[in-house]
Amino acid sequence: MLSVRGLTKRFGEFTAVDDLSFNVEQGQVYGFLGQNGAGKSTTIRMLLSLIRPTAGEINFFGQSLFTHRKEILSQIGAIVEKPDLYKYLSAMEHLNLFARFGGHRPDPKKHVLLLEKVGLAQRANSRVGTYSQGMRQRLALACALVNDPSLLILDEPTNGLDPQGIADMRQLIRSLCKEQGKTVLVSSHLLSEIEMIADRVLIIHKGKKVAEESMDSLTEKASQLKLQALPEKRYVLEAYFLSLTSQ
Amino acid sequence: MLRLFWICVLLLGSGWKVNAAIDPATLLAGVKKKYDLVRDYTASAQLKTNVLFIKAPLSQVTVYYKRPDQLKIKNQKGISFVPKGTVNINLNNVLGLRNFEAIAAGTYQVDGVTCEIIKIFPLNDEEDITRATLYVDPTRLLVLKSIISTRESGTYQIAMQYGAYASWGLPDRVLVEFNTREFKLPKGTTLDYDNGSSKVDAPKGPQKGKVEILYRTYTINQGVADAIFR
Amino acid sequence: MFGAILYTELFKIFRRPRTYISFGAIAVIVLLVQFALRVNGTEFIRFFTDSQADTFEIPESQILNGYFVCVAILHLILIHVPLLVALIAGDMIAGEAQTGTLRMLAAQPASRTTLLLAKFSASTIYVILLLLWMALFALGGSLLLFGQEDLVVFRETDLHIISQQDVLWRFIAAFIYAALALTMIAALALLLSVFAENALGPIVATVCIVIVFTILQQLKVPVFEQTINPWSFTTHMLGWKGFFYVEKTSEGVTINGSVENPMALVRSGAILIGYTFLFVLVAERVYRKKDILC
Repeated sequence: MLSVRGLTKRFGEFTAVDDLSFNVEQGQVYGFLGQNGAGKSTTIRMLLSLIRPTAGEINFFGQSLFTHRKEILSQIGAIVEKPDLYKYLSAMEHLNLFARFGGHRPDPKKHVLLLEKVGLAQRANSRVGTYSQGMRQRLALACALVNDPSLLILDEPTNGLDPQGIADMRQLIRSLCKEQGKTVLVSSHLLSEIEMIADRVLIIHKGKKVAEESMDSLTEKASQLKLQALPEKRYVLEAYFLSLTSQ
Repeated sequence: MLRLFWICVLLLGSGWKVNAAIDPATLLAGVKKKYDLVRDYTASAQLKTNVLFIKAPLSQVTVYYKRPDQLKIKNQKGISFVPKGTVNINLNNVLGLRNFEAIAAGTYQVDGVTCEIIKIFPLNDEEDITRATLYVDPTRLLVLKSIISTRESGTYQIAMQYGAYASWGLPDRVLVEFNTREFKLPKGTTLDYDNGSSKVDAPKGPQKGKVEILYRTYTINQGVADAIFR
Repeated sequence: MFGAILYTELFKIFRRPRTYISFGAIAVIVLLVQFALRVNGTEFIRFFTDSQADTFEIPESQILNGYFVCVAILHLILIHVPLLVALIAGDMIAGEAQTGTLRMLAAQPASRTTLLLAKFSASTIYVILLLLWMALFALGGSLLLFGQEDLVVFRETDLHIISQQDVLWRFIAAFIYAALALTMIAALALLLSVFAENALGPIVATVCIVIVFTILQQLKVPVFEQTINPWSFTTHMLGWKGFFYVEKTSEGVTINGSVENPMALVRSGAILIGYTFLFVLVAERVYRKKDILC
């Protein structure tokens, strides 16, 4: 589905992403972790062709992003960092707009269903300027899904959501993956959330990959780190993450 | 008296020979009699303006006249800048003077016609006309050319050609020449587009302007309402 | 794809309340000028004709007609319209970068070149609609309020009387030319917008550039007249006025359908198109390679 090889990005003397390689398989929820400034967003921006890599290769669906950008991006839906939408447009207008951007005719029925799925149907025609941050996050997800992509790249999708919203988002991501066979690459600072939904996790630190594991393997490694003091299983990822990034 | 003295000095100094055979007063009386046949007229005409700083289309005008000295040029359609002195195409302004000195000043060929030159000097200081020179065709009793100096509007040279309405003393074509002032607006007022044409040096200072009136038809002595001239 | 993106860009422009400020401002200014000329039009005309008042009968009431009022309005406001164009075009990239929507757009399948050209085209359509709006109020409104007559155009050194049958096409040509000039301003604002991540910067920068070059032009000093001004876009932006400078015969009669020195207009138009092309080309090159970090 996604193959990244030797991906590097330098801003002058500063190396934001350093020789990063990883693979995402179809149908996976792939967790992408790192501290602030670790290079997560830069990597995601390179995957979405927002930033040109200094070196490396990015292949989606067996095709290079640099030569098949249009075909690849038409199969990807994305939320990049905090989604700032058009405050003067409604949710329905956003979906119409992103449908057109994807080369599709707006389908109001489909859009209503999509808004129901993300819990925004009641406010479908309200201006985004009147939405809370959580509602904007939900709308951003709906925009990412409007063209029925096979791969979702979600950068901090639970930002600004209340606990119920976080739970809904978690469930939605899982269902997208399990029921619709979509692949999801998700970055989050909420390690417990990643732990609950991810099949596989990539951890980067200072632009370099420090670990890429399945959740099962990671749990096993964490137990070898003698983390028995931790009372709950959901802290395994956090403990493992801290052990890697604090070195 | 002082004016008469200067007239004599001028005439003697210039060596003009007064034609003893022509009595200017009689000639002018003959001309006036002819012009007096017309109490009023409404004429349809074409007006052509040729002034250095004016670019104007040909305009169709109606000329209204009512004795003794009312004259109005109105555009049938469109806009034209009519020189103020054009009112003097009505020669009654000159011929209607009551207190003046007329002097015969020789002859001159105008359009192939030998004309008598009559110089007229109003003696009343309140007259707008300060001096007039008429070139009169003594045979047809028509004024073919006049040079009229006024206090208000400067000097106008008016050339007239006659045709179908010659018996009424009404011309077919009038060419008015007059002095113009330089047209200039303060720089930056209009923020003009520079298309290169302004770089061609235009002559500075006062220039001569011309207005040509080509009369097509006259309606004579059918009455003209006074309101037209207001 | 281009058509769909252009549609969405236009949709965004015309769903934004800010867009209508320009249309409202133009309507208000035009109405104010019309009101002022209705009340004090004669004095306004006397300002131009004062030097000739002793020589000619000035037909002031005829001069003050719908066409004259429209030209007066265009003289007064066309020089300020670049600000209204910059408000939209300067916001095109930088405004979206500022609000964070640019990264969402750039992550769409459409190429950046397509996106930029769609944004430029949308700005151009906005310019055209703004001018049509202006034409509706300035020309249509003035003709309704002041009636039709020959048009008198005053230049610093002469005046042109154009018969009314020969006027309408000149207005159409002038509006088309103004659209060309304002499209160039849109291209400039878009170019500056590509470099900025804050909408205010390109808007202010565009207006400042126009002001600086206009001042250089108005100074009329040889050092600028011979160097910068022949190539300054503000010089050529005034070309719309050229359609109201009419040619005359040797006898001083205007020639219907003529334009004084049409080659100068062609050259000015070509220079404006050249600048537009250059600005869009550079904007495209920069934007295509730009890292979208905001």
